[in-house]
Amino acid sequence: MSSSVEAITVLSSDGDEFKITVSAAKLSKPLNWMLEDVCFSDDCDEVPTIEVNSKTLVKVIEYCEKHAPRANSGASDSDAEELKKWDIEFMKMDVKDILFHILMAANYLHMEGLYDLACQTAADLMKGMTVSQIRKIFHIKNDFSSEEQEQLRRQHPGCSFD
Amino acid sequence: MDSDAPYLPEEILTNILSRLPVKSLIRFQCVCKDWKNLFKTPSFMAEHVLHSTQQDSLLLLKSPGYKCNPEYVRLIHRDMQVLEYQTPPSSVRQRDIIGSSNGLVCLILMYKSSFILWNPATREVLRVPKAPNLYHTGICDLGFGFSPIVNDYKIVLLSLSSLDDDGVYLVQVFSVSKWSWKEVEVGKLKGMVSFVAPGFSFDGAIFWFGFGCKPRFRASKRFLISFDIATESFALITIPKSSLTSESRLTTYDNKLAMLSKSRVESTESFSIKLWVMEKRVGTSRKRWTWRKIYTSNPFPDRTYFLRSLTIWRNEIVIVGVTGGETVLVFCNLHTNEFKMLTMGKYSIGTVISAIS
Repeated sequence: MSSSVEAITVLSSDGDEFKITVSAAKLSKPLNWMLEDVCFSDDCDEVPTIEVNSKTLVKVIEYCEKHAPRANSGASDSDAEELKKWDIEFMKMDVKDILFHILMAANYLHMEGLYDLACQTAADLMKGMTVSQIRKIFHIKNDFSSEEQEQLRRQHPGCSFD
Repeated sequence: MDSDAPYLPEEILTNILSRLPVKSLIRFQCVCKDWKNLFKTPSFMAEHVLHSTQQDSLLLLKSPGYKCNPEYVRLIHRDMQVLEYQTPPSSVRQRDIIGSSNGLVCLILMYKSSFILWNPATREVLRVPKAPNLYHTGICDLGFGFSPIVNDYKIVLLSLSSLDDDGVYLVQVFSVSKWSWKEVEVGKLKGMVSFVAPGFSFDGAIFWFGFGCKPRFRASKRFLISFDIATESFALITIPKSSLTSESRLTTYDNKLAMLSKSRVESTESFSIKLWVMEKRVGTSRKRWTWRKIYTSNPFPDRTYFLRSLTIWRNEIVIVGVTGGETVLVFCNLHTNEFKMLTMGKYSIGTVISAIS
């Protein structure tokens, strides 16, 4: 691989162009493979497409660029502490608008750290939601019959179907 | 309005749900039938335990005495706060705990020889059908465990045909996924050993302390008996002589089977706790296992009565003790060698607590 290449250009699923540094792309195996393809290919004009929309890809790249120095060199405890704080700020986002898209992207791009963080964030957000809010964001229909609801209420007094 | 939220694949959804606290899981059983059923599957419970272990809590279960005491489930948080976990369902009270594995607790009502499975995460209580055959001696020994290979929980029940020398074991195994009992071969153990119940479950097997009770074995001969939950077969494992006292306890350390034992500090009245781990020996055919002593504690604190060691939790050995009429948990740090105490309130002396970490 040529060491002169420091960043590559990728396309989002919406067709927008994004730049990602070589060191940041290493956080994701599929991205790393793409990068090797681009660097070894004779036809350098080809821009690979990542099946993630622009809005999500911006966030994913932001995460990669932030985490890359630590992932590539190891970090001190104070750095890890700072990074943790950054993660919390980074994850302050809307569940349905973006968090779910990030989850799918992290899964698709094999990014363990981001996937773990996004799953935990989703779980933390769900804790404060009502049952009907949960059904809405997960597109779920209440399929309990009224008898079954009655039975569950008996088993768990105070449980709610709304 | 919410149509822009994508449908999450099942794998991602399960991962998120398994990170929810018990309280939320109980609420979200009402979302739909799929979720309610999912929370009951062994694989989900395993994932949930994995994530709650990462959150570093220790669940303490106090075996009830003669009087029903509903307050026997406590949770110790990593910041050493004692939390009320939940009140167990009344059908679970006054039972003895056989064991717990992957978040499911198995209990027995001894005089009725009936078993109950309790999932504290969903508060579900399942009544296990009675074992089809029992000798008049009743239930002698028990074990409960989970095997990831067959993705199943099993209860092992041993009954002895007579308490004389020629008594033979009847072994019956209950499979939670098949929801039925089955008789299994006792194999080479045939009436030659006694088990010290209940068994400890780890890595797809159940382990008991055992000792020889036939002329073939010297009476002092002690070992571990293992039962492979997937293959339903028994095996014997030798243990170092010096490691075994009546207070020995099995636990896990560093992802290995480990043993805590209490031994007297030479020429003093005090004693220390020793930690042994079992390691698989590679390349030898005869003795596959080897024990290594990896830690000896400082002498146990004065004026604290030692009841039993429980487990290892976050690099500390957890011991139940009594001091000044109160039950305490004594934490012995494996790195700093320091002892730390946590008062558990005025339980009666003799209270037995088992722990699930």
